[in-house]
Amino acid sequence: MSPNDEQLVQAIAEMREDDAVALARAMLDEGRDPFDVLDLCRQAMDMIGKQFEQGECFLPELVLAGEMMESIGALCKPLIEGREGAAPQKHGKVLIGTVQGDLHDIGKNIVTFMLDINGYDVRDIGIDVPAEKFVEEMRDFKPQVVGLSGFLTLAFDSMKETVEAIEAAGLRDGLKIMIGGGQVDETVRRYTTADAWGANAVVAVSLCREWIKS
Amino acid sequence: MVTAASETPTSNRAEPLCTALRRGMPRESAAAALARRQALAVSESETLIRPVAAHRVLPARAADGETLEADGFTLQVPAFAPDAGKINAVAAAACTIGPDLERRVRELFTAHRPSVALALDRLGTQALFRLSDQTLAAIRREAKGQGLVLGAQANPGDAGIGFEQQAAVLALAGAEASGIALTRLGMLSPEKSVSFLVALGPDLKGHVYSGRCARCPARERCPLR
Repeated sequence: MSPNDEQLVQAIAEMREDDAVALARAMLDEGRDPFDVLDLCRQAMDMIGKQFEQGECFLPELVLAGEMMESIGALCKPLIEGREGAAPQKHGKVLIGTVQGDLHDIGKNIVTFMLDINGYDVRDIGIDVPAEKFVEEMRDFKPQVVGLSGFLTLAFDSMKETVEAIEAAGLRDGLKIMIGGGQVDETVRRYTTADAWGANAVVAVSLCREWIKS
Repeated sequence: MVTAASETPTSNRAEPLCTALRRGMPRESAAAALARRQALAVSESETLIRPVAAHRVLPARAADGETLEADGFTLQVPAFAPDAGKINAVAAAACTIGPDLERRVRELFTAHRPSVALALDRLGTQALFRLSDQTLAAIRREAKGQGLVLGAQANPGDAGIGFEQQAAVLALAGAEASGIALTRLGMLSPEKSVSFLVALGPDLKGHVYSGRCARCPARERCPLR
């Protein structure tokens, strides 16, 4: 890694947004491959993700780093689009929503943002989503992963009903379902028969990386 | 001794709430502090916090353990069981900061400004907790005037009182004009709303309020602690 590369990774990791964007812009102006710049951003995000999991930084820092990555991605995008056959590939499709009866959406919105900046094609179908709406959207969007969000304990029944509706519709094979929300844990996962649960957005991204191999 | 429902208006001004929010959060990075200040500026310039609180102090009877009777309602409140025989009144409260802040949070997420959205959401939560604390203080003053001591506090959905008691707590609080409504499953709307009951009696030992965190089911994962 060159000194410039290290500076960019460090600027993102230390939440110096202006410095990070200026460094990335200078690198691109000097003819640096935009994919290299994006890769450096991902390295920095991975560092921050690890810090977050170890309790060394918190959600605001994680989200701010994501915003920096998005800003730098916006600088790279026109340079990538100008290349023949070099359109950035999405890693996979994720359908996400807050289950019926629950209106909480802050966690879902953060997961949606983090998946988006990590290269996933995310369709967010909102809050208070009935099971049949999940099925309908799945038929149209054809996701590899479905994320069910719910904060209330009452949402656990809705999660279970949604998984059952997906199974009844014949859409469960090859699909991975993850659940998340304030009080979700392994007991809730077993009850809902989802494939995995996540305590935060970093886990959601890790699960998608594990499940969807590019 | 409480013989009829009584209520004392709580201050419904946003300014005291926002003043408290300027202090910042524990373990806050410089970048997060900047997002918080931006969120505070958005909140104040657009008057997104519109606090409303309602509470009533009512005669009550906790005849057998977990069963509480007040104003024609019968509620199951396990949190009050240890003091059952000594409870002769209950305070019911409902507080909200209104729907504007959470609408703005959604707009900020849609506009790809999640750091400010997140900071604004946290600001709203802090403001709501502050309003709840102010309401509890008003209840304490009112109870003292009637020779009553505060016992345990119970928020529907937390340990000590079931979520299904939410409608009864709102009715007891006299929250009709507060703008707080219940969803089909009993969730409070606007989201940034809270309701609670407090046991009252002349001979209660006096509950030691160990803070909101001690009762919060999400405390193990909370980044604010």
